[in-house]
Amino acid sequence: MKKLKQAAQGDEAATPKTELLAELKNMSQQELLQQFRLLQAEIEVPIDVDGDERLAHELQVYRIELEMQNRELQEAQQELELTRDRYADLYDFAPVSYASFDAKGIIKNINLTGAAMLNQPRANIIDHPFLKWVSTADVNVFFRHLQKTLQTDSKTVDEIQIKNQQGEFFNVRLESIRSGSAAANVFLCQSVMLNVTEQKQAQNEISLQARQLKLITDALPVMIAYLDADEQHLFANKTYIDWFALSPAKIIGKRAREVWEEKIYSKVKTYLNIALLGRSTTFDMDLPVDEAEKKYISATIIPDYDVNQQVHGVILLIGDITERLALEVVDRKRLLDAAHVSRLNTMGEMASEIAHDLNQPLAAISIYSDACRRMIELKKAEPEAILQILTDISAQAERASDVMRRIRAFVSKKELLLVKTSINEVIEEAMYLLNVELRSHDVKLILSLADNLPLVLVDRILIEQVVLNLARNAIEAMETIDIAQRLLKIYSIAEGSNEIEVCIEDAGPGMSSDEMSHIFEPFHTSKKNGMGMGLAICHSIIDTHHGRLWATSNDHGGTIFSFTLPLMAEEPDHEA
Amino acid sequence: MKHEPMIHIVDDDDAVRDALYVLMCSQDIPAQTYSSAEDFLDQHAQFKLGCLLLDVRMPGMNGLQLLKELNKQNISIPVIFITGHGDVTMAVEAMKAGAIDFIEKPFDNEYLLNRVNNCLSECLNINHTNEQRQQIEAMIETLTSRERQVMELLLEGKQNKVIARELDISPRTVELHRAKVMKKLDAHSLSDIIRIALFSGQFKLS
Repeated sequence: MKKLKQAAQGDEAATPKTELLAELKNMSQQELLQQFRLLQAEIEVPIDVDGDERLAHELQVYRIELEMQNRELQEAQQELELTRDRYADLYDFAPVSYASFDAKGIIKNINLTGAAMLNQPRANIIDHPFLKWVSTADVNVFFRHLQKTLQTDSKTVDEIQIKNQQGEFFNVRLESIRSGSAAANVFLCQSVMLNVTEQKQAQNEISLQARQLKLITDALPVMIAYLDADEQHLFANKTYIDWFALSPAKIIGKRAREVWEEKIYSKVKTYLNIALLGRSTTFDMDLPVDEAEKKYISATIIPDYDVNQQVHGVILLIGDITERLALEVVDRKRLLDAAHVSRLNTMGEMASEIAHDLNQPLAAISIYSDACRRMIELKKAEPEAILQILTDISAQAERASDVMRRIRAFVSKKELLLVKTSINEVIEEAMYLLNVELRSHDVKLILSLADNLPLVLVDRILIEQVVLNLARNAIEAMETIDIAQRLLKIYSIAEGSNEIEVCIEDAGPGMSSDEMSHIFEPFHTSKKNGMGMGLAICHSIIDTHHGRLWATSNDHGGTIFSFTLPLMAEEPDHEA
Repeated sequence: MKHEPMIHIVDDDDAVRDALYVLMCSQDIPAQTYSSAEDFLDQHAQFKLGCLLLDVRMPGMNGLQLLKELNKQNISIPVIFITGHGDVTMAVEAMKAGAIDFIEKPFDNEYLLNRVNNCLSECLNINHTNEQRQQIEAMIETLTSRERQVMELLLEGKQNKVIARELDISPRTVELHRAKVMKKLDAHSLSDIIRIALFSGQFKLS
C-alpha cells in the first residue's frame, strides 16, 4: 500500500534491481541464446581436462540460468507494476470518491475524486481526521457508521452531510466495508462516498411538490381521493377525510367499502366499476347520511392508466352539492313567486277579456232559461224542447266553469311540477285564454304546430305563461298597424334531435336593435302600466327548463320571439 | 218563402246564437241564424224583410263592417247591435252608421224582445216623422245645462267617475243627473240616449 502511494506520488528512488533490469534489457535475446548454446556444446564434449576447468564451466552455466530466471522475474514484476499503476489510476480517477478510515476516523487514504470533493490537496487530507469535514449534526452518525463497519463483515450504508473547504455542503452516502486482517487486529474502513446532493435536492423538490399539491388539494372544496385497482385509498385530501369524519389512518390504505360503508358503497359501486373498466364517469346522486339526512353529491371518477395501458387506479372527484341545491331551491321558489305575481298581473290586465269569456255562456244561460220560462208560461212547452234547452243550459254552465277552472289553474301558485307534456297542448291552452283578446284586437292567429313532436318535461303552467306572455306582447306590438295586417303566427318545430323550438311572430313595426338588447332586463318596459318583469320572468322560466329564449327581427320588420326546450334526454335536478 | 218579417241573428258564439234563436221561437218570432257576417251577406238576398240582430265583435268581418257594407249595397234593414258592456265608442259609431238600436250584454230579454218586436212592426217604415222630431227636441229643451253636460260626456263613452272628475262633482251626483236625463228623455238605456242625440242633431258625437 505504501508502494502504491509512493508510485502515485512519483517520489520513488532508483534501485539496483532496476539497474540490472536495464542491463539485461540491453543484452539482446539472440546474444544470450548464442552464449547458452556454446556453453551447452562445451559441456557435452567429454572433457578429460582437469576438473577445475569443468567446474568453472558448470558454474558459468548456472550463472546464465540464474540470469535467465532473474530476467523472467523482472518481467513479471514489471507486468505487476504496470497493472498496479492501472489500478492506481482507476482508483484515483474513478468518478466516485474512495477513502479509508482507521478506527479513530483518521483518513488513511483517499482518491483524487474524494480529494476534489473535499476541495483539498491529498497531502492535506491524508492522516487528518475526517471529522474536519463532517457537519456537526452528523458527527455521531459517522462514528456509529465507522464502528458498525469495523465490527461486521457486511456493508454499512449511511448518509451524512459534509462541508468542504469552500463551505459548500454535500450530502454523501457512505457505503463501507471492513478491510485488513483479523490476526493483526488492524482493520480499515474502506468507504465509497457518493455525492447524493442532487439526488437529495430532487427528492426534496419532489416532497416539496407533494407538499404543495397536498396544500392545494386540501384547500379545495372538492373531495379528492385516489383508489388503486383493489379500491384501496392511496390518497385522500382533507375535504375527503373531513367529509367522512374519520382519521387519515382510517382512510389511507383502507378499501372503499370499509371507508364508505355499505350504504354508500352499494350506490357508488356501479360507477366505480365503470371507471375501473377504463371509462370516465360523472354522476349526481343523493347519499344517505343517516335516517333523517341526505347529502347530494356530484362526482367524477377518472381511470388512471399504467405504462401498459392498464387501469391501475381511479381518481375520485366529489363535490357536495347539498348546499347549492338548497340555494337553487330558494332561487326557484323566488322565481315561482315572481312568476305567480306576473300571472296574476296578466290576468288583471285581461280582466275585461275574461269577463267577456264568462259573459258568453252566462248570457246564453240567461237567454235559454228565459226562453224556457216563456215557453212554459205560454203553455207550449214540449218536454223534448225543454229537455233540449236544459241540456244546452247545462253545457253552457259547464263552459263557464271551464273558463273559471282554466283561469284558476293559471293563477294558482304551486311548487314546480315537471310533467311529460305535449308542447302543442300547452300552446293551445294558452290560445284558449288568449282567444277573446285576439278577437278584441282583431288579430288573426295562425297556429302551425308540428305533428308528432316528442314530449318535453316541463311545468305546464309556467310554459303556458311564457306562451301567453309572448303572444300578448305580440298582439300589443301590432296595435298601431292596420287591422288587415295584424297577424300572429305561432309555430312549434323539432329543432335538431334534442330540442323543440316554439316561435311567436308578430307583424308589428319591430324593435330597434338597441331596444332588443334590453328587452329581457328586469324593469325594462315599453308599456305605460307595465312593470317590465314579464319578459325577464319568461327568460328565467325558460332558463329553469334548460332552454333558451331570444328575440330576432323577421323580414317584414316584426319580431319573432323563440324559445327552446330540451327533449327528455336527462332527468332534471331533483324535483322539489 | 213567406214574406213575413223575420229576425236575422248574426253571432259567432254558437251558444248565444242558439239561445237567441230559442228565445225568438218561444215568442213565435220567425228567426234565422248566421255564424258570421260573411255568411249573412251570402244569404240575405232571400230575406228582404225583417231586422238584423248583430254582434259587434266577430272574427273576420265585424258587425260594424257588415252594416257599412249593407249601406254601400243600398240594402236598408233595421239593425240592432249587441255589444259588450261599456263599449260606448263602438255603440256611437254603430248608431251613426244607421243602427236603430244597440243593447249591451248581458241584456234584459224583455227589453230585447220589445225592441225586436218594435223593429219588426216598424220595419217597413223606419223614417222618423216630423212629429217625432219635435217631440224629441222638446224633451231635450227640458234638460238643465248640467244635465246636458253630463249627457254630452256620456255620449263620449265616459264612465260616471270620469265624468265626476271632469265636472268636479261627486260620482253620486253624476248618477243623479244621469237618471234625470234618462227620465226627461224617456230613455231606458244608453242606446236610447244615443239615438235621441243622433236624431236631434244637436250633439257632437265622436
